[in-house]
Amino acid sequence: MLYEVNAEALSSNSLFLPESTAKSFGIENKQTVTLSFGKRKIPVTVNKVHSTNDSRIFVSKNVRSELLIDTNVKYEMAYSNNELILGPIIGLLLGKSDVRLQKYLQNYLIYTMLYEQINGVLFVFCEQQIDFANEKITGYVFDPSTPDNWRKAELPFPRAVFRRVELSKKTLTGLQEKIGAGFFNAQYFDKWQFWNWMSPYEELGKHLAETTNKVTLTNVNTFIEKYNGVYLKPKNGSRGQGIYYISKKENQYLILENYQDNIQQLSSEQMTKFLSKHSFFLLQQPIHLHTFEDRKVDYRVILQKDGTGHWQCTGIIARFGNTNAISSNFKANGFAMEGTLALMTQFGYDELTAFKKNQEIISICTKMACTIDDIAGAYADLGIDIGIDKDGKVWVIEMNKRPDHDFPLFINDRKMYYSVKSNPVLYAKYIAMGN
Amino acid sequence: MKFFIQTIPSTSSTISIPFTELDKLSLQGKQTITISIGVIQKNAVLSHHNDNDRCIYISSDLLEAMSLPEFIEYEIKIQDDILFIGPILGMLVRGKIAEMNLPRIKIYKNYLIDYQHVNGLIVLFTSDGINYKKKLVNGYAYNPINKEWVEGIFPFPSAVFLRKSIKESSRKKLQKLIGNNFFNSHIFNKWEMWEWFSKSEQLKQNLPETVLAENMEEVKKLMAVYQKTFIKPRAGMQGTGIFQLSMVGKEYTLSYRVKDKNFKTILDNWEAVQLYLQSELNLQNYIVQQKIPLLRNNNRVMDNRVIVVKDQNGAWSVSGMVTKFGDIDSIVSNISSGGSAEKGWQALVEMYQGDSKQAFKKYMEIEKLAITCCEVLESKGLHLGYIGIDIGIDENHHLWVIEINNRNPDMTIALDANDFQLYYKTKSAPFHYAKWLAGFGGEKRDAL
Repeated sequence: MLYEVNAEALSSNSLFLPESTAKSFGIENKQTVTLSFGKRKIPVTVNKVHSTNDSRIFVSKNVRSELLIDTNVKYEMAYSNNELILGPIIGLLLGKSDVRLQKYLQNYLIYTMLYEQINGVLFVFCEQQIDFANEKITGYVFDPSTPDNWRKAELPFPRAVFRRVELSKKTLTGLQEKIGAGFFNAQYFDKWQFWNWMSPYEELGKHLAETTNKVTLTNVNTFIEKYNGVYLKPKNGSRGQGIYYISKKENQYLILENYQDNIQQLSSEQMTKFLSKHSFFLLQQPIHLHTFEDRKVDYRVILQKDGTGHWQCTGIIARFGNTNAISSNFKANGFAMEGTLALMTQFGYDELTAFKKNQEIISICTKMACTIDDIAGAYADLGIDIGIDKDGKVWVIEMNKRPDHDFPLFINDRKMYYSVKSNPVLYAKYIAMGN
Repeated sequence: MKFFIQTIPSTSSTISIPFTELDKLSLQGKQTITISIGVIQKNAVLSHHNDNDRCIYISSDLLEAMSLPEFIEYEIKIQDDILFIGPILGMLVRGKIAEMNLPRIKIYKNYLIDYQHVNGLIVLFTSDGINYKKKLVNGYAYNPINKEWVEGIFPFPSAVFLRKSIKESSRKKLQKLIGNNFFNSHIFNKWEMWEWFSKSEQLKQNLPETVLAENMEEVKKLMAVYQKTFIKPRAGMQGTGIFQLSMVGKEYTLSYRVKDKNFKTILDNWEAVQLYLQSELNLQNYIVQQKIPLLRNNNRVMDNRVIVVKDQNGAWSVSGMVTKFGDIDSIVSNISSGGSAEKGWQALVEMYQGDSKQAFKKYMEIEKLAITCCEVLESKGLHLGYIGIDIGIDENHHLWVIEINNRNPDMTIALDANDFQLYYKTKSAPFHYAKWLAGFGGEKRDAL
């Protein structure tokens, strides 16, 4: 049921509800309830009204101005524990600055595709538009009745915020404090934190390459002894940039940099010096992923929460890399394929075996995502890179917190692409309506 | 973590768990504990061991008269100070236990293709195998190692997937044993469905207007408004036994389909229609419904079978959609009557001539409508775990709920559309859901 809100000259703190609505919520006439709009709340006295139009509610002017209710869009309502939620109010933190935000407004329309199922206030904003002192945000509300589809408005802090942009530490903690778990994909973490969080759990750790942040010659030697070679990786790198593979041949260290052809040969002394320049890197066990005609293959698992409030796999996309690269994180010279199809192609699986492997991958990724939720706060949009070795074992390579949403386009799957964009908004609605 | 269970011949009422687990389960210092296996609860002396951290020992007196197969890996959890060992799940099938044999029950293994994420004991049984008094069941347990069923007497499961309808008396007895933890046992007919859905604010605009066939005056009015109606058996499935009644001027045409052939009967006036229907059909068993001008593709009626399941988190979720096309000029779009199927998404993209944005919006609108149907059925007290809903699209792209296939909807329709992944996903869903019902599912619980 959708409601239009009208602000009238009524006695302050009053709310007029259609009889049928009040009845369905079990609210009595003259009952005092807390009306919430985003993070703002106000006590109101409910008056039941008989009306031929069941889709209109009336609030006194002070209620509208104190809650910053936008009366140009239609809302849903939910009621529990004496709290009446008018919503949803969903904020998408997408732009780095107001200028950039304005520039890309038309691109953000893709997040509003399912607005007919969302309703309420769906707005985009950037860091500089947040007014912590007055607890309000100036953002752009999706409003299809306006020529640009977006309308600048002053809004309360929302109950749900989806983050997809860099933020200052101050804003990050400020929003976390104000919005709590409704601020999702908030906290970013690096590869070392990820390993530290996951590895204590036997069930999860066994799917991760052994990692240390102590980049010393001794550790390099230990890894090489154990695994014949070792990766030197930046904590935060992505797309395979800045990754080295180190092996040893007759007391000489051989260093191969990703995407480069030349191999450096270093003595122990030179190696020590080389490592000291990379002290903020990580050493990692090399995983021998099953290749396909000399191409490295990895799989991007798109794990998202949706309108059910739970983790779901939106899709899996395999990348078949450049033949010479040491990682498959590569767009040029490679190709992509839908996950199940790739499993059948790469391993010769039949449909059923591919289904089971698919389920296994999703299960491992979901367990990790739930653990991350427990440790680092709420997430709802993750891009998890996994690989499969010769024995069919699943290795989790990396978890991306601000994942590239374009993966489905590499396999020309528009449905998956729109789902990737819509799921965080559907989840935000689930949160914003008090579930 | 998963554990094997070994039974130790002893009367000490003891359960011994690996020392390393004591801490994880916060059982340090406890002397006794209540254990729960399926619906059976017993008090046990708690002890621990160091010899195998994947093994739990249980003294045989605790498992009196029943067996807990040793070839199975079980999950454990602590809740309200009770140690749960499971999941113990069941599937109630038609027939008698004496008639069961391995070839006959082979087909049920299809539900266990994703056993790797279910674990525990899964028992296939028949009504006469239930011992309500002792809370035991005589049936077949699934052995995941050799993928075969093994006969035995097992604890009664804590959640049951019903593959047959049951009498009200059996329902009451089951309820006493496991509360509401059994699903897919209800049958309802088209008229009941219409009565429920038409009272829902969200659904009534998506329902064809429907009247009871025995009420001929109502039928006549319906014909006056819509000129074309369907006469459908209340309990029919798969488009069998459906008549189309159309009116042109004063003349009526009754069309129907028998063995893939279309037939027509011309009737001169309403009295003739009434006479014909009353003599040919047992009208008490029929409803009459407004004919929706469904979209056609090359003169083939199309509608969508939406497959909705309760997922591993207990939430309604659409696992996929298959579009069905009727045979040319057939009045129904059922594959068993000569139609074909394709993946729902592809059909929608074609319908919107490649505009994938429109197709996606419509797809999600169909999903939402299907889930709303499930929620209404649930609010009527029906416990369903998976269901097939036929949703049609008319020429104005408005959605219509055509039919609900519940209890045991045929999921091979996914195979007709060559969508094996959808078929497997749907087949494995009931036991994922049963596991959640039994308290062992859910992403959170699964985590550690």
